[in-house]
Amino acid sequence: MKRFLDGPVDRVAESVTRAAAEDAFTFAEYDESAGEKVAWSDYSYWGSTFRMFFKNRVAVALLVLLAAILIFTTIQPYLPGQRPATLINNDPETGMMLMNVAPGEEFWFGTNSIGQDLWSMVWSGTRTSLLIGLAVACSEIVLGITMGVLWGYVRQLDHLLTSLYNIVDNIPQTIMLILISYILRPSMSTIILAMCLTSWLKMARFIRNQIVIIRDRDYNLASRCLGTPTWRIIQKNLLPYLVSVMMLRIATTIPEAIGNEVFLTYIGLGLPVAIPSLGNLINSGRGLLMYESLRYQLIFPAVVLSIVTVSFYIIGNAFADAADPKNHL
Amino acid sequence: MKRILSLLLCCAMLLSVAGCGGNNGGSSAPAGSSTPAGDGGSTPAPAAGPSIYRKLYSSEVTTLNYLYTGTTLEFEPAANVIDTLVEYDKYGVVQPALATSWETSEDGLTWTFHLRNDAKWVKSDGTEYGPVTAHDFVTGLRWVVNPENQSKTSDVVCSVIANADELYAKQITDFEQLGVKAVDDYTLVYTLKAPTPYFLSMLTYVCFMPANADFIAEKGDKFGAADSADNLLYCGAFRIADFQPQVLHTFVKNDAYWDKDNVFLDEIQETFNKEAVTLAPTMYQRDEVDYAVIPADILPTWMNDSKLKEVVSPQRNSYYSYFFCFNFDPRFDAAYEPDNWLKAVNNENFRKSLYYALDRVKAKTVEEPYNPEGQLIGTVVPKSFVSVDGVDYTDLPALKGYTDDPTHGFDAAKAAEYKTKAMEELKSQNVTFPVKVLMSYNPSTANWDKQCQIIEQQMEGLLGSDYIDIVLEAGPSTNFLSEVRKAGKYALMLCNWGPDYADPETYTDPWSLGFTYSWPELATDPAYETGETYAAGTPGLDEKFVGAKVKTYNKLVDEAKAEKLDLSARYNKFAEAEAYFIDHAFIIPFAVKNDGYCVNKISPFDRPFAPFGVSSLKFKGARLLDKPMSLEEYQAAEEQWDKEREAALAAQ
Amino acid sequence: MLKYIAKRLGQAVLTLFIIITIIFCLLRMMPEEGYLGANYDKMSEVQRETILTEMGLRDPVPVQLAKFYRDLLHGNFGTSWIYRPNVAITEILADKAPVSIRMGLMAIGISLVVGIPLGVLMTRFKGHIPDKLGMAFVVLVMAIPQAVYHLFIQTYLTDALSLPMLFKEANVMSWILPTVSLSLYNTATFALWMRRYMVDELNKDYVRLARAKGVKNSVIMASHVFPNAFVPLIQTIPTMILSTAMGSIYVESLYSVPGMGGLLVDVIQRQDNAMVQALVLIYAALGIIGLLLGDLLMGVCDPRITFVEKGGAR
Repeated sequence: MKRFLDGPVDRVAESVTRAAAEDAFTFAEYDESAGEKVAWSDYSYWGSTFRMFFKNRVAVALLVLLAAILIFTTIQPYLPGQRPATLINNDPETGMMLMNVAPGEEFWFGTNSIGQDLWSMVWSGTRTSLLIGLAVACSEIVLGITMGVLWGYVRQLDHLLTSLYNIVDNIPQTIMLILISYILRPSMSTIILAMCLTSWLKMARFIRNQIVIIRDRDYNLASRCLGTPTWRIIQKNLLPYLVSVMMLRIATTIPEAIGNEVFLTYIGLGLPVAIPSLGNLINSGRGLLMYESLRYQLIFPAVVLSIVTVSFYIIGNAFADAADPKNHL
Repeated sequence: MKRILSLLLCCAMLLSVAGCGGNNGGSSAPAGSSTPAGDGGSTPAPAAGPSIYRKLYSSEVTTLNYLYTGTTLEFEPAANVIDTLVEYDKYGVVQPALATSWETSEDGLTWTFHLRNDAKWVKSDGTEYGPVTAHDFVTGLRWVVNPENQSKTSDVVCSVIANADELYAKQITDFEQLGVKAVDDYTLVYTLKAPTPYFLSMLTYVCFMPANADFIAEKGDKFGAADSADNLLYCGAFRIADFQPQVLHTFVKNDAYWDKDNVFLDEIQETFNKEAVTLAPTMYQRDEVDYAVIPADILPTWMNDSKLKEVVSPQRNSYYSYFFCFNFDPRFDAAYEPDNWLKAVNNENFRKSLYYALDRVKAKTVEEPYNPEGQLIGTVVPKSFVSVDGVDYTDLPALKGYTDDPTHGFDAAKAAEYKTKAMEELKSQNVTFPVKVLMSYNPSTANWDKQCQIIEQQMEGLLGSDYIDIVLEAGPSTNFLSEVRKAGKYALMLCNWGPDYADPETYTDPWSLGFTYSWPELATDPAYETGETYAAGTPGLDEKFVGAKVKTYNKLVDEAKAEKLDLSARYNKFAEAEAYFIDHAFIIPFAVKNDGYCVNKISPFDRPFAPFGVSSLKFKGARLLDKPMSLEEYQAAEEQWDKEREAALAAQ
Repeated sequence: MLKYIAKRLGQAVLTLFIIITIIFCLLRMMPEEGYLGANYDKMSEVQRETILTEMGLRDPVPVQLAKFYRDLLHGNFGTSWIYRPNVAITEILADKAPVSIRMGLMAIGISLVVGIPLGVLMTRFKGHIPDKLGMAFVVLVMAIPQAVYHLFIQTYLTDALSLPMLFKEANVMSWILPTVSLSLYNTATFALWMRRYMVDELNKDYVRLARAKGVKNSVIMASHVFPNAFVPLIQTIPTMILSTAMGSIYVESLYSVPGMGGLLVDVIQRQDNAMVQALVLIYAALGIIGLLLGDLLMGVCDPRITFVEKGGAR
């Protein structure tokens, strides 16, 4: 562990070691219960965080809504009376497609120009888009935190990673998105890959900065001098900080990923129509904006997308506020 | 220090804003003066004033160099500003243009053209540059076959003109040897590789257009560069008066054009808008443009509106033929069972069951909900492509049955019958059912994905999912052809082919040896063999096919190709080959290309007509109508045109 | 400070060199069909090879790279390959950049003039109606996809205000809607961050002290909270100005603005490598300059920041 430390901590640790070598002191074994004795108060970080969060009514309402949407998109295909999203509905009498049927009892969100049920398509699309968003957010967290921790802790890597960051950060994200989508064939994994390639760096830098700031703070220095194991420092001192950052990042990454998907679809590199997504639903609905009788084909996916996006932003911000210990008093 | 810096920064920002303001006034002056109509967008074109045709375009040309380009988009300016030796009139009959008369030698190898002596080159502003002479055609052709110029249409020249191949491959370097000579200023002689009955029709293509040698020398690399109208000389019905890339194109009637009395539009204003598909219909309603495509998804709203309905009409079918190919060389992923497919596809009854099971009308409805039958064809060669002795090629005895079939092959009963037969035969060959049918499509082609979904559902519904399992897969939207079709990564796929010249031979190319469409020469059924093998030294044969078995279809086509002089015999032989190909269900003919419905203040029947080349892109002969045609008016005009055309062809 | 700038610029050159090399190599991985255009299908093998050789694509990549750098060092961006063959790239950019820059600067001007006061207003009335209205605006702009709301503005506002649908440089009226559309997103961003930084600042001890001392609220806002909240914002402004001045693909496509907006997407799709390289270079350089300017501006505005090299301590 010592190898990873630097700065004043090093020096303190060194003098402690030297003193130990001179037999002036002996090491006390770490005793958890003793630690609790001093640290005890009725303050609980998570308890306060959630208490603060639940005070924000709007955020809670949106969280419930979002959870409902999440659950609903997952179970929707298994509910009775649902049509598969890509099924083309035919008129049983004439055998021709039921094209552009306005929203009504039979088709709650209407049908599109070849008779597919927009209700199923919107939910299937939401599922796809959320999946992309979550996948990007997860890989960003795993990659971002791993790299960020290494970057912040391992001094030898600092220079390398900083130059890498400078380079990648200066390549416009659009270029990476387009180049990757261009070289590979359009699919979920291509889109996710293209987005992950660029986004994890932001996260890594964030984590790195936090670690650099926090790790040398007095209370951490004190913890280390007292021989607190690294895992406990991370768990009790670093993690609460990182959690709020992480939550905020996830909350913004998901809408960003959905937005990027819409952009890729707009420039013609999005998912094929056979995989409905909010991006391609909105894109094929755009042309219908001027026509009152068809406008619903744009409005439904756009509204769902807006709800999802706004919810994530607001919940993320509320949670970040709540997770900041300064607001707990 | 800091204060000074902040002051400097402020000044810089102020200056940049002020500088921009000044720049605004300066650069707007030339833009204003070059468009005489000013904000012409808002004024409707009165019938009495100059007739101006306004449209949007969503994709900018990359070059004006007609000798370089190979895309239809860039053929359109070329067709309107550069004249050709001969041209097609509105009935598709060849008429003299820059050439007034021509003759061929006995052996069919030498074609001599006599040029008119009143044709002129003009510059962008309309001033005269010089006469159009026979030397200009020599210059143009030499430019195309020079490999350094990277012309995209050089293959057309190489396929027909003597020594073009050798020059392009740099086997010879003396351009004097190219099979084109200017005997004098107004006499031009082409020497061909082999007798080519359809040579005249090729002359309307961009690579045979003239170019002025002095002007090319003067402009160098900038000849035809798409940044200014000054990089080109004009000799066609129009000249480009103003060319601002991604802003506007202004085509103005060319007063020095020899046939200017047949040019009725004074000006064509094209305005760039990337979202033209979305915006043009609205802009038409606000009278800001005279032409707008009405995409299939908004078409119902227009058709259900009593007022809008009056201005919507179909567009003409193009001669791009669409057909489903059965892949005889499957190289797709093992997950889709290529070996299983290979056994199935080599069974004729299996292919026939699919041939009869495809509901063409339903599949076409995605793109054309009102009259899908109008675009369906039962053959590969579309109707009214060529005719012989007054009989359309598709009505020749061998093909008449396919052409007249009202369902174009869809027959549920026959499909079921062939399914039973195929299942029996294939089971003995250990084919696993359902047979996986990999259907690939390009996700960036409008409606293709939806069409595949419809076909999947319809065919699986009809034949039963115990028999076939159609698997849809989106290919990459870029490099689709090389990654999917050429790479054999499909089982059944919609492919297309456009004609290059006026002869049915052009439609046999996709299945000629070594071509990358569906490799029917690899079919294993011995019934398709002729018993012969390809001998070494056969002209035009790739060495890798030496010793391969000659298949009946290829033999039929080769025999037809060899028939150079008797046009009727030639066409009948091609028809028989095509009938054989369809009869044995190597492919499923489907439809012709159509760009859908539009509002258009120009009647398509006034414009030149030709199934290939660039004549049909000309605005010569087009007149501005008071109001766009309705569906009924269009159909009436089409009927009238059909009658007149018949007469014109008979009088030929 | 000059030393600091020189050092940063030196780093920038190295970064640019690496970026452009990476992109150069990535571009050489693009499949070949794209270079040959729509006529690909009908070309013979000989023709395909000839064209690719003439384009220089058959040379080994290091040779191509060396040639590219040699030209670049001579200040020569080269000519476009496919997008507009034989036209110098500088000419194409000189044609397109001014419109985007002019419109972008106006838009960012609007964003600053509207967005920052909006943020202040929202803080001033935190939790009350102006704050909620402002927040609704911010949320709407951020949530509705740009592809949708620009189109909405264009189709409905042109009709309602009888403004022209398409942009024409000479017609001042036609500048209004695209510029306003372009400014919306940044306006919302500025308002959002301004509000956030100011609220953060309001919770700080010195503000409480000032309040306790009885300093007037307006004075606290104007001379304490606002300047301190503006500092972190000012760092991002140069980057935002530069990126806005490069145009927006949505706005420019809809209104026919002949700017830089869709250029990058366009040239990548057409595989015009020469153009892509030039654009990547420009965009990356602008990004670096934006960051540098941001840091400098922050240093100018915030007396706590100096550019003197610290003695190795972290």
